[in-house]
Amino acid sequence: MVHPTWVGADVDSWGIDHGTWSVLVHAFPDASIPVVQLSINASKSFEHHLELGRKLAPLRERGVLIVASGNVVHNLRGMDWSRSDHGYDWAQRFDQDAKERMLTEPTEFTTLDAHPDYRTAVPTPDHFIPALYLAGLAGTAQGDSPEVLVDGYAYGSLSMTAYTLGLSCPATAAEAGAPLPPADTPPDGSNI
Amino acid sequence: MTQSSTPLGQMMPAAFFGHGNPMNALEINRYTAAWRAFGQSVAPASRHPRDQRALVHQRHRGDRDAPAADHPRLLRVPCAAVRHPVPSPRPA
Repeated sequence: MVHPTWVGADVDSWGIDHGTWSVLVHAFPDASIPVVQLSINASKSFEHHLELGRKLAPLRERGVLIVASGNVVHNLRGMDWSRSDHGYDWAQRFDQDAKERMLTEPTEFTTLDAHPDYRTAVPTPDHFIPALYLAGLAGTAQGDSPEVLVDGYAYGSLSMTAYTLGLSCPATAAEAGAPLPPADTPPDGSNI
Repeated sequence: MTQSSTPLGQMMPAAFFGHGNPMNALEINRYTAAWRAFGQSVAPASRHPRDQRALVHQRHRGDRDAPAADHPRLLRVPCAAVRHPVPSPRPA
């Protein structure tokens, strides 16, 4: 299905990442759904990832729930842990423009690297790229557009925006935002 | 991978999650509440929920094309999270 992209089993290096289990433990707390985790190759172009997402679209017709996990805005060096529910101006500008792109022209998500705030919002592409998979899937979904599931900011330099495709979720009551970090841990040692 | 368990004409949804701090695994906040609502909305979407599968793209910076871990040996867990009763991965 994804040829010529190579996919192989990683049996001994990384394991299930926090981006996967910290979400799924809430979404499916009884852990009753088999999960295959696909790592991303951050050395590939944004177009490559969008296209790979597009190629995976037929899995949606075979009972496979495709979930991507990352952060559209993710700057560890810019984190201010005293402001767990805050987003810097540049973080809000980038996330808002990304949101508009995802909701109206998802296949243009690849051009966000030309955004004036891109280098600050996405200093490394690893957390941004997963969103390209949903954008690629959305590009194949006729008459169906992504919707915002929840949005917000954390520690100034992270956006927590989540999107769904093909599913509208009831809005949840506003509760507290992101958790406080453990004390005395440097941002790049936090595994966020 | 087995073939279709989705009722004819029914597409499984898809999603992107901003996951943030791994400590969200232990928290209840507006993000985790939304993730929970998502899971609860997905489950009734299939008549065969136990036949559902999930494919998760996550942000690991790989140097190969796309390693897929379906039988992991490691769970990378912050210290505080070991108190959380997460079921272990089941053998394939």
